[in-house]
Amino acid sequence: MDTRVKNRVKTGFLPWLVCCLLITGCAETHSVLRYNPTGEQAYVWPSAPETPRYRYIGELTGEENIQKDNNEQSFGRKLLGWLAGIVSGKRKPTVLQRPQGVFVDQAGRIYVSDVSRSAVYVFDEEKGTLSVWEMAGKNTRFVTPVGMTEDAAGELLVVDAELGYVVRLNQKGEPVGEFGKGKFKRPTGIAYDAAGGRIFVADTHDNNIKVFDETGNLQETYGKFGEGDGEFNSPTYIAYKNNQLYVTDTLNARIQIFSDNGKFIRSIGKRGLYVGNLPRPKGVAVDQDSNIYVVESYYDYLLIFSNKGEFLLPIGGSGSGVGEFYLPAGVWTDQRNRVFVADALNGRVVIFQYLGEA
Amino acid sequence: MNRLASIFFVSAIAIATSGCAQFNNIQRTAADNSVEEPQPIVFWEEIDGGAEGNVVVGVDHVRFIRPVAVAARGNFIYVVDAGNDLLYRYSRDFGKLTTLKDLKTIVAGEVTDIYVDRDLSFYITDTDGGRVLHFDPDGNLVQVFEDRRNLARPVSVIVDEGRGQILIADGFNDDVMIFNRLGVLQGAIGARGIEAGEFTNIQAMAEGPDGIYVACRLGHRVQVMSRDGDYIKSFEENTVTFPLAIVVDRDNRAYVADYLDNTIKVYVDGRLKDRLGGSGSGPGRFNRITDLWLDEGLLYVADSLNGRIQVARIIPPPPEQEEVSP
Repeated sequence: MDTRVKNRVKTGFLPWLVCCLLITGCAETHSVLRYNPTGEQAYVWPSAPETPRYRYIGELTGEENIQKDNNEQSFGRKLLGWLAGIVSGKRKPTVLQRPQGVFVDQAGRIYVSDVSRSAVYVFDEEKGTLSVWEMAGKNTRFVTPVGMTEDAAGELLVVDAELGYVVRLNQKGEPVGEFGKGKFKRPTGIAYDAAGGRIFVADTHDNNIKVFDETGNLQETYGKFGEGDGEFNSPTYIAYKNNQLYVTDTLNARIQIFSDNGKFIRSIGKRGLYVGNLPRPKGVAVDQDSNIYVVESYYDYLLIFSNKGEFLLPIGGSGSGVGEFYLPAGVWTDQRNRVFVADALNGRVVIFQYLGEA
Repeated sequence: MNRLASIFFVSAIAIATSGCAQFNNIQRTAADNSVEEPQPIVFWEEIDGGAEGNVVVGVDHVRFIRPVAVAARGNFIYVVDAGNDLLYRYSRDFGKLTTLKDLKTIVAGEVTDIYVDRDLSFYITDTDGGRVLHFDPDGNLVQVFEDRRNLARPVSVIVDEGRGQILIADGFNDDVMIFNRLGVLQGAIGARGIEAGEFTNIQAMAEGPDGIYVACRLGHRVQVMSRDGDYIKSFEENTVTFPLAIVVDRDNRAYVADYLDNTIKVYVDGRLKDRLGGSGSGPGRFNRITDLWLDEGLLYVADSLNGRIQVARIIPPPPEQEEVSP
């Protein structure tokens, strides 16, 4: 009797000890988000003697960007690493597999949707952490998360093309609801109009833009299949800025710009094989100077246009080096004038600093 | 101890010198070869399948049964296997095979051609179903190109993204249909016949720097048409019997697979320049070539009855000697 109790105490004690060590270990570590852990040199575009407009900041690839302030590992961490090593062999690092969309919220958290990992990666600059959110509902996982945006309540809205609806996540990444079930054929891009309280979702296979109110009720639909003004052929990514809606009309090889009430204003781009043409446009974003960023995935370029549609600058070319892309998809500009490009097949998000007009 | 050290030292020197000798050998043969007339293609890789599955369900080496169509972009190679009606994507990085599509459920008969675009979206010909299907990189259907009246038996498809056109060769009506990006038929190149600019029993199509190349079973075997549909030229007659696949490189050399004698025939300016391969199962030998593809200087050959894809490196032609003026 006594020995059995002793054994139970013994076997019960070890996991507790490990837990305590881990907790103390975790509490001690401070980590920071580094954009350029490999220390690439400073690249600028356009190159000298032109006035540089964009500077290379770095790239996000996953765990590699999270570095400890002090290199000393806690005993708890070491023990965990040792135990994990025994149990599961070499640990696989968390890396971006095929990033599709990028979004930066008001607090500066960077969200990356990954269609291969079927999850949303969250890089938190303030806390220096990386988390992976994979649940789209209580018992549902994300399948193909693409577009993301944030509403007035601070909830993250994620469009899952395969599930066919928009998922709401709270600040902790817990699913708190969804909308648009049964209304989409294949939703991809999403944009939020804070002033009007409207949510725009591009339905790629239905060839239109669906407009929802904040509670997720379908209000109206813009466009239909075709190649005329205001018509779409596989719209994918969208952006809303300065009371204008920017829609990538992918298979019509153009960006269409709409007014606040859905009226066609103008379109940018055409087919062709020269740099600056848009054979296969994907992500679209607008910065504070109203420059338009278009990801051109056919020849792997980030193209920058003025708001009138004048072609200003290309960054890119096929490859995996700095300033090169391999099937890029989404693009985002944040409040600090940084430009984020999801470089899908290179498994990274590339970050540029816009240096302004001056 | 000293003895051990000396043995180690001597063996290290021996290894080092033999390594150098080998290295020298390689360099010398390379130098010798450069003097000889260069071959247009050199076979260097054979893909007969790949690892499929994962840690959970187990990893298995899956072999192709009858690969009939092939296309590639970078390290991704797309293979249509008519033996088990599957479309595979082979990743050269890891030697991994992924089943992209079960073709039984989406096409009526056999798929004769696959075209992979720069954005890794792909097109397959539903030959018996009379349509061409366009899928996104993940295999979701994007568009269907069909026309009940004018498109009966698509045997080959190419995409001209500069013009936003999809060109589909029809082996039944013997013409090339031009669709726009909306999926609407816009026009045709050629018609059935035996005159110049006419086709009889189209088998394959390719695009080259100077136009669209169309290979036929009968009549003029290989003809070059402009993108606007005008006749440009024909290849040398009686040089190929049953052309089932054709590709054209950037130096305007055309590679035509002859189904009859298991060879690849190389044409320069429409004249037969080289004849490669022959029947067999060794490297550089073929048993019924059904498709060819060119990507990044590599020629991919669907060696169907040998159950493999052979890959050859294309050697650029020697630069033309410039005449030095006295």
